[in-house]
Amino acid sequence: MSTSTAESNYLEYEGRHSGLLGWLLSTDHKRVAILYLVSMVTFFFAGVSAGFVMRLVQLTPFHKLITAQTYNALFTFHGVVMIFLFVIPGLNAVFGNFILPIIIGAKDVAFPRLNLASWYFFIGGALIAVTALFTGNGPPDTGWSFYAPFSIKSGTNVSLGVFAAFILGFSSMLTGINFVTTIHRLRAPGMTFFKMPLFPWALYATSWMQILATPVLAVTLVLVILERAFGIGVFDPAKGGDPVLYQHMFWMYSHPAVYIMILPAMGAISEILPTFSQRTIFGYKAIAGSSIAIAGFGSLVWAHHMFTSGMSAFGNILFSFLTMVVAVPSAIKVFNWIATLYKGSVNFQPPLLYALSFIFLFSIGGMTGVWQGALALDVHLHDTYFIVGHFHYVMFGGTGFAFFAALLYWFPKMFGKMYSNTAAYVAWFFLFIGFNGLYFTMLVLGMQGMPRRYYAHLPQYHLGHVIATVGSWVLILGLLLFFGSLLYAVFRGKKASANPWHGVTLEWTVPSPPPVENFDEIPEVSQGPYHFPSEVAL
Amino acid sequence: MPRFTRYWMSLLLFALTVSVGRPSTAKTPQPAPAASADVKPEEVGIDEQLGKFIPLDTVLRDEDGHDVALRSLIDRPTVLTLNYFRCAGICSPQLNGVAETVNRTLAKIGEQYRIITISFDERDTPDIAKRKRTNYLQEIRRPVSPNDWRFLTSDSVTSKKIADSVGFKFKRVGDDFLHPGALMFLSPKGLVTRYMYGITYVPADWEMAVQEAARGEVQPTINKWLKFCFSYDPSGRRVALNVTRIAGTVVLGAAMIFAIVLIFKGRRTPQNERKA
Repeated sequence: MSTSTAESNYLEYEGRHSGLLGWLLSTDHKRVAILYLVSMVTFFFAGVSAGFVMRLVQLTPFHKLITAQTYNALFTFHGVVMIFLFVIPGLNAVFGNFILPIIIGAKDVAFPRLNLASWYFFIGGALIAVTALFTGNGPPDTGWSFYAPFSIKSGTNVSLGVFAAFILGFSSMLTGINFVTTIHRLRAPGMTFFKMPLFPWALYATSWMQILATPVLAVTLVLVILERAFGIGVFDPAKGGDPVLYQHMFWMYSHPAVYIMILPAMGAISEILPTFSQRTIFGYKAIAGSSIAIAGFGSLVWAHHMFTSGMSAFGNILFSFLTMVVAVPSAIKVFNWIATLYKGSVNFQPPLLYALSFIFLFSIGGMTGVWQGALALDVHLHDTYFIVGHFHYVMFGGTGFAFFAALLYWFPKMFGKMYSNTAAYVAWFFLFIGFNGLYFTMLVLGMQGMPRRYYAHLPQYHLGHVIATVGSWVLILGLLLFFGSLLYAVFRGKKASANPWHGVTLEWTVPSPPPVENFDEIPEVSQGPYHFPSEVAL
Repeated sequence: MPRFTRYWMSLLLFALTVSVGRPSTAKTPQPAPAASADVKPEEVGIDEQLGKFIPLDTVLRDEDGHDVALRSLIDRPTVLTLNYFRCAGICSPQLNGVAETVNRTLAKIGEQYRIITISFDERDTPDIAKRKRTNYLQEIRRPVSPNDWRFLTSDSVTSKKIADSVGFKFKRVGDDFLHPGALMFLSPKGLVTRYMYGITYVPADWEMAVQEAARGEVQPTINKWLKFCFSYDPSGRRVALNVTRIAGTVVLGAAMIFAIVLIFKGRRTPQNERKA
């Protein structure tokens, strides 16, 4: 492109296509990011609706609102949508796409067409998942984990649902390959790995996990489909197969997937905290290294999902130990984040509030994870609401709140508009109260013995369920307020400056919204990423 | 990135992939566990001697104490096992496994092949050998003559010579021996054509090995890779394709190549961009 791009930003730019096609056929990483954002938030609200109905069902101990089979379909739908269509692509797809090339001083990702293709895989997979709901013998009822042998025997439309997840895996893998190549090949001159900001570091670790773990899921899901179609017997004990093998293969992907979800979130937090404390990040190398350590150890802990599945005692002890070990790099991050704030010039803006909430909620999620890693306790907690509470603290309280924080942080850059701080604070209040009301209650219910995925509950759990359901209403109110205020800001917000938060990483050196090619001239980097002028003055 | 760092990173990646993707050692020869602490790994095990001949002129003692040259016995495909008769470890399970496989394989003992068990303990006598033979022949539930499974003894130098010729490494520890558990298939001319590890054997493999030995075909190394991809499922009594292992190796291998390409290709700079 020979035209000067400084004039037209990526939102206004009209290339060969205009209007909707200008978005659907654009290989600009920023437009692809917005495509992801819009589609993912849409899916997120679909998942929220399913969650809302499930909570409503639990408002009474024995209820007639929906049938038990529908309830099974609902939690499967909720899980599949939230995991495969929201948290796994998560910050990676939206902010990785939008921010990664700019923050490392590149004009685009390494393979822009592949990038757009990844989004089409994503949307294709999502459409197949939706199709699975309305065709065949009813929506899948296995839970998002598709455990064999039930997933093989279930008469519902499991094959199509599984195929959707298979297609979505390709989107994830291709994005991983794209980002790894981008980070290796397209960093600005002078930006060595250790002069690279921490968000790309996190994306780098995540991408390797996507490349290595997702094929395992693909193989597993293909085997389930073959099992259902041809009865090959790999997971069917009646034919000499092994259902525990399914669990191993499934979690060999799906546990690393938890880190695929959380690592980019941690990367975003590592960007937000220095900016809002106007202070260089504490322990840069420790945080960068801990991302790699989390990716490494996180790939070796999968069988802690299976302590009650009949593994050997040695296997249990080994995986329990490794689970404890993986908490160490996570804790390294948390302590370094807190140390970054210490003696910083803290500017308490909405992104920081959400980032701090992330640290608080993720810490609860992480610590309850360590509990479950302890063998004896896990036997008691397995398959209870405690697990449900725990993983919502990690995925929603962790990744979800980091997603909100990152959205608030980079929103002015992405759309060139400012949102209402008041709305963001009020939304936070409802989100935080609603979240803890819903999920902390679940932790307590789990400790009391409420099993997960049950359609009905015994009267002794009733109070907890009522509190959780009311919590879900407050939470949803917060969500509507949050996204509503942002949507309003996209169209009616005040114009944002190039650097409203006084950040020092490269994305703040380009206009808001960025021009099509990001930089008129590729910047040269000579120092580490978090050098704040005010700090130097001190 | 400095060039030497790249080399080290590539080496590390390679080592990682090889170590993760390497075949399980569960079925390769392992020394008996007892007293293994003071034995170096290279002292006990198998150094495959595929495509080499064993010394057919070697003379041993048969079950009646008469001298017998190997040449006179190896006139057809032969399964060679090396054991000692007072062995409390894997010898008995191994010979039971041999008898069991003889019962189950389609290859006919005597007609198509012969088994020779040679003791590497010079204290074993023809008398013990004879009793062993009687025992094991009783295990076989198909037509078999005493000539079809021979139990031979010798002095320590002779048995060591034979063991060396097939790469079978054992070590005396006190009164006992540490030794691997493996079978050697020999052609009628004494050519080593195949090794089979462990104490249970796949009947189909056995039959295949006998036919190959009859033709004097040496199993190429590729067979080891096949072994890596297929494993015997003892409970299902069949050979199973290791889908997980193959997929894992392919993924790790591809990822390693990807990483090495990225490391060596380096960063895009205006210079190499112009070249492109």
